[in-house]
Amino acid sequence: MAQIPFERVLDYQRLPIDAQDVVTKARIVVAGQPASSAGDDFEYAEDGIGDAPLPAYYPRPIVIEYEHPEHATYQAERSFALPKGVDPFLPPTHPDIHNPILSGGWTGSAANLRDDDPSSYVEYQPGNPAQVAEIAFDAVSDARPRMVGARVSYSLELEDKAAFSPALLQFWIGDKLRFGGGSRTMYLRQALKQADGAVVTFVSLRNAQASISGNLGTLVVRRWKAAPGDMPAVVSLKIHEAYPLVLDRPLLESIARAQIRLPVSTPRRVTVRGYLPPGDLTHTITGWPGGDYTGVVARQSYREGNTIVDFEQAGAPPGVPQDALEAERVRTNRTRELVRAATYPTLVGNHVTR
Amino acid sequence: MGWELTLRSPTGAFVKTVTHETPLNPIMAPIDVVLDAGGRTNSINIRARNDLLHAPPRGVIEYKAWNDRPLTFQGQPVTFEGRRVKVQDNYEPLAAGVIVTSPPLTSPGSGPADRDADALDRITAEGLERLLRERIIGTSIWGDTDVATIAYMVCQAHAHPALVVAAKNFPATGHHLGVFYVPEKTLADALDGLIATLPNGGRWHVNSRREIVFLGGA
Repeated sequence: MAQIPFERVLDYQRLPIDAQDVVTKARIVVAGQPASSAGDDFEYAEDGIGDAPLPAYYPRPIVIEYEHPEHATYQAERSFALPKGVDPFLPPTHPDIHNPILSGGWTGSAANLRDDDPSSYVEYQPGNPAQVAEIAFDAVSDARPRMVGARVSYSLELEDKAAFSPALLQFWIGDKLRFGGGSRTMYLRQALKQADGAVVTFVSLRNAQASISGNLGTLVVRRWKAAPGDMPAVVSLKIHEAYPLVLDRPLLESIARAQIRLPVSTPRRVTVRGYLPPGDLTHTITGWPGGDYTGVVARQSYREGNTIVDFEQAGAPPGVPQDALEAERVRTNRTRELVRAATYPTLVGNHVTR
Repeated sequence: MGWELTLRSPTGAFVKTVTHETPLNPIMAPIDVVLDAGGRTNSINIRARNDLLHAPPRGVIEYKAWNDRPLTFQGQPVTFEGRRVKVQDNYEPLAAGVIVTSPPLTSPGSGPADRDADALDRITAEGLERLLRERIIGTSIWGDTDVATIAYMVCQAHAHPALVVAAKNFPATGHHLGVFYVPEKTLADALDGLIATLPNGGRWHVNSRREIVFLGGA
């Protein structure tokens, strides 16, 4: 931070406040509408209540929002796609992710499913007559982090590969829904895609419109959706990873917080004799009438041995009228709105990297 | 000629009215208003001393102007208690907008030594449609009713508090929509999307009384 005596100030000018790009509530869209339905299918469980008609499936975007206190004043809200490369979920070894509960004929430690080690696994016992084998995650209450999906890695080998049919072997991922005065569990079916022993990973998110907020109850991965007699003989079915996806809220909220843009209060342009160091983020002008002034540097330009500093917010480049800059910004914003409207499917599409 | 400038807070609360008769007038030059077809405000440019006007960033302004003319009846001037009666040629606001560029609240305007006086005096507002581009509609599912009714319900739920949403400005289009579900869209994009579903098109805008208007094509 440079200390500048007021004697070095050659010129001082107020700058207009630019309030075009205000954002006081930022929404980070982790995932929105499914980009495609390939490989997925939706089906309701049979343990529902009564004969209430089943609601159509409408995916609700998975969104984290951050609201600045100034939102009460400016009410400027904007959605942002999750930045590329960001993993929005807690790692499987995080203390908030618990070991799943295995039932229906598995061998191996449940901890193998969330140890982040692809070489460890639990294995299904060949010859087990059970039609359903479950890997159930903890029921989640309002006080616990909320699951938004699951990640599963498996390898499957069949005795007779020709007998493999995606309809016979499936994972089901459940989502408890509210409708008709009660609730049911809706399952997203995910067919096992390969039977050659290769490790296959899939990540499924679901956030149905009618999901019971904050309480997804059970998140279940099942295998077998077939009559026992139809099942092909399994040589090996190994689950290498299976854990619920829980949003990394602190990370996502920090990303959302970084999108906040507030109008500045007193932007000013000060011309100072001599060269000021280029890398400083703030300068203090000592002896400023009314008290020393410390401001955040928005832009700094050098001209004829002097330094022109724009504090708080950059004005037009020296010599260029402010309205020319604004016209440029209007054009830029208009283009950005067009791009934004045109790329809406991208915004609400899946951006999940894990 | 007379004019009246109403200043509101960014959330639409009334702050003050300045007119051509206001003493120590903060408005320093004629107000320029540009409207697009149909009454959509494009821009309002005001040159003012903001230390007197106190127009905040994102404040909402409404501008009304008129000419006085003597009232005549069958070619004869009309008087009231011996004085000529005047009427205005306009009683409605001409434009309304949200301030996107303004001098600091302490700015006394420009002086002769200021190289870019325009930057120090000018308050620029653009149409209130901007406020619909800064609202994200939620995840509610709308539908099975008239497109205008859907637009009305979406606006009621999500419009900026500075705007007025009234059923009379959403006349029925005669076209029903089964399902309307566009989560994370802006309110402006949602209205554009609803207009796009109408066979004869239509348009929406925010009028000079801060009302959202949604009209199906003829």
